[in-house]
Amino acid sequence: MSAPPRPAVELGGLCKRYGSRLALDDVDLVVPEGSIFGFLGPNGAGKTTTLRILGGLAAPTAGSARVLGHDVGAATNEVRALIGYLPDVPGFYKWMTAREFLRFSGGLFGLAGATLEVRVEALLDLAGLTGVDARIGGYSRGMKQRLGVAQALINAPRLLMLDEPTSALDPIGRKEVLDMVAALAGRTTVFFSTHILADVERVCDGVAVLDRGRVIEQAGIDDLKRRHGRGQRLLVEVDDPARFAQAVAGQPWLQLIERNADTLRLTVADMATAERAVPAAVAAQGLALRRLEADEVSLEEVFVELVGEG
Amino acid sequence: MGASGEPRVRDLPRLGRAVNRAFQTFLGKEAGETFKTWRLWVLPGILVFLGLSSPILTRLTPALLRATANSQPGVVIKLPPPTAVDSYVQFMGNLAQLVMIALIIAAAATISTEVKSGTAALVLTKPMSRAGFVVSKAASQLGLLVAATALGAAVCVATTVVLFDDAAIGPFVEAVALWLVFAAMMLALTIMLSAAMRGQAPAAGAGIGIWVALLALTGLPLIRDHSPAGLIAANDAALRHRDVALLWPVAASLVLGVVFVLGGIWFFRRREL
Repeated sequence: MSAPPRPAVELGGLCKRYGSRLALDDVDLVVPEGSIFGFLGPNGAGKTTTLRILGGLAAPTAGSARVLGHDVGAATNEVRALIGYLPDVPGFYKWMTAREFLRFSGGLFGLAGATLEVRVEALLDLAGLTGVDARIGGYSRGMKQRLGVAQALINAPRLLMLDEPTSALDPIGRKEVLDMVAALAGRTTVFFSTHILADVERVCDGVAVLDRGRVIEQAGIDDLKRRHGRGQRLLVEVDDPARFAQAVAGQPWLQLIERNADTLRLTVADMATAERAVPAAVAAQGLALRRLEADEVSLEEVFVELVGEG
Repeated sequence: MGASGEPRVRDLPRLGRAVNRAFQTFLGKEAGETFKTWRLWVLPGILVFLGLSSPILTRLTPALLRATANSQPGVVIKLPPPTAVDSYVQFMGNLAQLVMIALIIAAAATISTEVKSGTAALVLTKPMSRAGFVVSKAASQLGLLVAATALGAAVCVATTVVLFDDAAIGPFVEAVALWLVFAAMMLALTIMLSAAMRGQAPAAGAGIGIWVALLALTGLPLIRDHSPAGLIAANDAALRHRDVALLWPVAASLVLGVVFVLGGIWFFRRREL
């Protein structure tokens, strides 16, 4: 019988205090190896602090942090050889070109020769920086962010940690980074923090929600939506939305009705009853039913519900 | 690389060789940064300028003073003719003050700038130890200091030989060497302050403050003769063939230089980035 897969990240009672402020308060978290894991939270929740501790840039006040089985405080170079890290605002040597910086980054991992050159060219292509010979000091924020992702991959890390990797990118840039992250599934564990919930929904297997230094939820995306998100919803389009709304107002199965142009969003207490009652009400009013479908709870709504309750 | 073009984990060499290569890579980066940025012009530029100007100023000063005196009725200035030693004294005086201040200010930015700009975070999340980071910085700055001083001194000697009859190189080389020992210690001290303090300004301020304190200690013979303070006036004594106690000041400076580098490592290991 094979041993269970070792977690890529394990936090046990992790605490971090800055003076009187408790940035991380008894955080427990497990990130399965090979997963793409989103780390969500409002500003100041402690996401960056967590990533900095995992990267060895800060020390915990209490508790434990393990990366790929290694204690981040004890086995420093061993841990760093296995990870790739991108901070939220990466700093580069402005006098270098992208190619020089990637060679420098690879050299820090002990890479050299043909191996390094092949990786550098592949990553420049991935970052869309092939043929860009200008110094980094003249780059846009988006170019720097893409270079940051590239340098985090130079050592083919087993754990890739990204702090807000798409925050400075335009929609095309975001898509490119997310496609790259999705392609790493199963080969590299990706642990990234973000405010952009659509990114998490798009590529992540699991997610943890951090608020005021505490993990308030950790689950798979679908499981999270199932367990949270108030009520169930139906989207209805008819030729006279106002008349339909008036007809169903006050019904016991109806909790809330919201209108956006010609679309009505009904929050219902009993989906089975609502699915029969809505067509009946449309027919009773002599209206044309153009659309009737279940509306999936978005991760944003779950997030707001979780963080708002905290 | 794998078939898909993605890099494979087993391409990485063993950790020990990797760490050593990381140190070499970072040292190479420091060298590249010197030649590709403003660093190349600050210390070397100042020293070459002083190497040229010190002999010229020494040669011209008596004539300038006499011209000034001639414009004042009743004022007579009698000056001995300037010599090569006077040229070197002028150069060493500039080293002791102007260059020392420039050195401290530049060294104060060594580590604090990398932390502030975020480059340290990208480097130190790779197999580059904080000790290696500090030692690389100290080694590269020391190499630049020695090379720039040697260049400035060579320019000074060449200009002196042209302007004066006697080159008197031997005592000048000894004086420069003694100054370099003291300057290396101050460099190590300021790098330690840069590792410990948040920002270039407080590190530079502390470095200059300590230097001024050492200047004051030259007035206390017991401390002067057994501490780095003894090197402050030693280069002038070397130029004028005066005997001074050198063993303890040189030994203390070398030992303190190593202690300060170790101190820089200690502070930097505890610093959050």
